[in-house]
Amino acid sequence: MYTQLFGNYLLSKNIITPDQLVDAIRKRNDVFVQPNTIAMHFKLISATDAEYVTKIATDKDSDFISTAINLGYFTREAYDEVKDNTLPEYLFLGQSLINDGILSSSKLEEYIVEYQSNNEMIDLELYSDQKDNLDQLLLNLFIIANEELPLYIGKYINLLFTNLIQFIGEDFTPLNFLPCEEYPVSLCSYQRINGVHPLTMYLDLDEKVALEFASRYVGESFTEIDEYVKASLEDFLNLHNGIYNVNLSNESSIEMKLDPPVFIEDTSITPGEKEQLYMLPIVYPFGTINFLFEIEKQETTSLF
Amino acid sequence: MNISEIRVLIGDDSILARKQMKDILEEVGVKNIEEAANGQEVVEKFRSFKPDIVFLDIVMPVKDGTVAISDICAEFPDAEIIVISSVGTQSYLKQAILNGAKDFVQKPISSSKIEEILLSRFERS
Repeated sequence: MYTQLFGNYLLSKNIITPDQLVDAIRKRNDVFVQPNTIAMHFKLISATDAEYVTKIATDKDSDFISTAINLGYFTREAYDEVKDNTLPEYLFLGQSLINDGILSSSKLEEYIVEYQSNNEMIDLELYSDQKDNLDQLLLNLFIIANEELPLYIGKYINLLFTNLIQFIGEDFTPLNFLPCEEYPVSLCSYQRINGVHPLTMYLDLDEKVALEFASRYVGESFTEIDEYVKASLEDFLNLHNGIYNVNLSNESSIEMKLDPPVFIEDTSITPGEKEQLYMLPIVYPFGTINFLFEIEKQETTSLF
Repeated sequence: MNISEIRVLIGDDSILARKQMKDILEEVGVKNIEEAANGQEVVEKFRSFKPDIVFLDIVMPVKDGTVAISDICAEFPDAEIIVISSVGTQSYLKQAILNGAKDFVQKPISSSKIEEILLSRFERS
């Protein structure tokens, strides 16, 4: 999951703006990770040397790999061995930002190293043994930055990101929580979770995004908004909230109750007097999914 | 009894979940399938359809799954009810089993799990 949070990390450090991030993610499917970025990622060459080789290659009208090999930075065999390896998602995001002229290769490498180092990560793709670090990173990025958010929301979004990776796809980046006074919905499902940490969750999408979301979730291609597309929004929310309740029950002996999910469209959400509404946009290359959290104002209990 | 001869009732408020379950059941060879979209409908369809097995969600409008189980088992103590839900918490599980459910499957469902449940009770078609 660290890879999905890299974009948010760049946001939190004011290295990029939300618009630049959203734009880079939307171009994700058209991004071709350049040989110099691949060589740097697999540590065949440093960012500084890669920039030098790029300059020489441009001057000589040659390609990056041949130039680097001729200059003795690595061998053809070494490059061939890694070039077809699966690349992490954050590299596509990074390449997109490089293509847009927002970051240089060396800056990207610097920020990746800094991100890993700040969060004591061994590898951005290895997270199974780094659960505590991940919890802390989620706290730092999403909860501590929003003092009014209760700490248990950290648990909730940790599972939400995991379920998005599993059921919709790993090519997303979450933006930051935004408080809302009123929110106009397009196609939306919502569900109330009752108990010691009451929460009403909304999942809102526009038509184009809903079609792709449902297609990914169900594994079929939808071309028009029908009852199955609408049901997929309810189903995802219900599945996720159900697993969240199971985890709370198993890990903390907290029993919560779910109301059935409800579908609404073309209306608006206004929080009650005792509630606050926060929007968490999740950006995929096919569009943005908005999750809305309606939370009681006085909630402060920690589950971490 | 052969799987192709059994009657199956699906109780789930999600039309998508019902369709996915129906597709799995048909793949396994089940031919007689009825659907219900809430707990009250499940109880009524149980009386008229008399299914050999029920796959039932818990969180549903009108009447939730645990109450529906209780109502059905009061009338039909041998009812074969399998709970299929995303909320497999201790309290929901306990209540469902106490009310008469025979098994519990955590969503998301897999075709192999449904096939396993059917083959442990009925013959392959």
